[in-house]
Amino acid sequence: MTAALELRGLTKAFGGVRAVDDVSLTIEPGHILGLIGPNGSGKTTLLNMIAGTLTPTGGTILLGGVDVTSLPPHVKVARGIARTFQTTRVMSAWTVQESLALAGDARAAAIDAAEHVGIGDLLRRRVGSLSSAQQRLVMVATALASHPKVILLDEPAVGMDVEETDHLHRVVRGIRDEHGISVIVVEHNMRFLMSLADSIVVMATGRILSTGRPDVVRNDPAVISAYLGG
Amino acid sequence: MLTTVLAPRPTSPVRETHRSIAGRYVSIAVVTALTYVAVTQLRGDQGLVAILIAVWAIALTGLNVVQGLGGYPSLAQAAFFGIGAYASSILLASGVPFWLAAVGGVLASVAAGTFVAVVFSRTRGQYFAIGTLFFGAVCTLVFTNESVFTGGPNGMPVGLGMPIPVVLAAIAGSLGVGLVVFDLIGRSRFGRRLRAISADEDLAEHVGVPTARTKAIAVIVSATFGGWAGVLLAQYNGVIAPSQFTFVQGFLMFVAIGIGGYGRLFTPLVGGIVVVGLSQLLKLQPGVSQIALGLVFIVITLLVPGGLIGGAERIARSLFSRKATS
Repeated sequence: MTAALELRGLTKAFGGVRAVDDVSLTIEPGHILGLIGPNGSGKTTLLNMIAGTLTPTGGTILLGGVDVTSLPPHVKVARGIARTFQTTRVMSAWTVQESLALAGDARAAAIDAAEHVGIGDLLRRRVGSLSSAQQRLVMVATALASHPKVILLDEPAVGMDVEETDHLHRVVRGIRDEHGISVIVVEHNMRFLMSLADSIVVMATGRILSTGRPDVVRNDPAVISAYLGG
Repeated sequence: MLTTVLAPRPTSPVRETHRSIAGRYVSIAVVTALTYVAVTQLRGDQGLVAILIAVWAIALTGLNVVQGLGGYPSLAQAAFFGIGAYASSILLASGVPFWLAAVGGVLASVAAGTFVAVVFSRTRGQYFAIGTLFFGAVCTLVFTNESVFTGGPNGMPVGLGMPIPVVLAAIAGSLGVGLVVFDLIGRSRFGRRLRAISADEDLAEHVGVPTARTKAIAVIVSATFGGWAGVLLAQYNGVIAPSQFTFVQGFLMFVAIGIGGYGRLFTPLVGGIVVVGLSQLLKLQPGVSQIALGLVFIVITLLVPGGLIGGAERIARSLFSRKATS
């Protein structure tokens, strides 16, 4: 089966600093990949390259076997790569429906996406009037409304309490199970991520330190030493 | 469901009803009729000012697309205005029939707009403004120095292609049609994309908006309006000169959009009334009027970010809500 997303030797250098250094990984369709690592390990830079926010210095990004390495973000969205941001970025003055319609170009897609993430009754509300957790769900719904093959979630649970995090957990699982979409999640909340992801990639200083099932990675001495702690 | 866990404070939803759309078209019809009455019935200075306001409002309607909806400060609108005026007049002087000359004037402006769009649509913020300012300055130099075609600093006479009553009707009608087109653009997918660029260009790009292409189309639309306004001005005036299309005029057009309120339907009219009307009717010296307009612009930007229309709406809303609660 063709991988949903494949990274081959992906590298990003800022001057002499290699923020991401020769990263290769493969994500199968309908797979949730957790990406963890200390601050500055290159997780967000990696997402930025996949989404087209940054152009890689080297390497290749294949989406469904097709090279999309240097495409601008809007073309990548059209091809099937959607993302959310680490900080909440929404069209505050717009209604939820208007925000989702911008991504989906169809009312039905907007409604489906909103209902999927549990904000179906907020379609006519201004995004800026919603709570922080709801605004983060709007970001997820916006990504979903663009009919993606791969969704990149950059710290989606930031600022959420336990109940909200559990809701997000169900939402992301639903994205995988009901839509067959692959998801890459960058997250520091280990309770959330370890129970959500099918596999985990640990990054440190721009390189992959460890890869495997959550229970395997959690007990990897190198990961414990570099990130998880004793 | 999460929404029941975290109920936010209630706000009124934004909803476009058929009634509000119909109301806008009635307003446009009324404005068009009043414009026709003003340009045909007012005499002397007042008549001239009314015509200038209406012609500027047509050009400003185009600017309201790129600057008002898209949030991109274009300082090239006076150049498009001038290109339409000069190209149509030069074609007319060469013996081309009026309607072909008029179409030629608009197409010349569209060609210039396409050039600006291709070169500057990938730039952002102040770089876009600087680029369009530079284009406007170059056009002013061409209008002034290419005297073989343009008549130089003293300008050139324009052959009349249609009787003055028809020109006046065309001015009022063009304003009405322009406002309808703007309204349709504002409610279209293209308009939503422009508003998204204005709100957060990076976010817009990441939800699938082709930002550079959308801005480029907006500039070309803007040039189309500017070119047609130039054709009408040349036809009314009977003479055109570079001083009518300088980059200072382009800056005043930018100011007019800010004064009226970015992206609002009647911004071109309100901006035109303040920028053209007040400075002409108060008989301020050119330098003084520009300083006064600059001060008005700064005060409005600081105190009423939504422009005069946004401020009036806010006052009306607060009065209405006070009445409703009393």
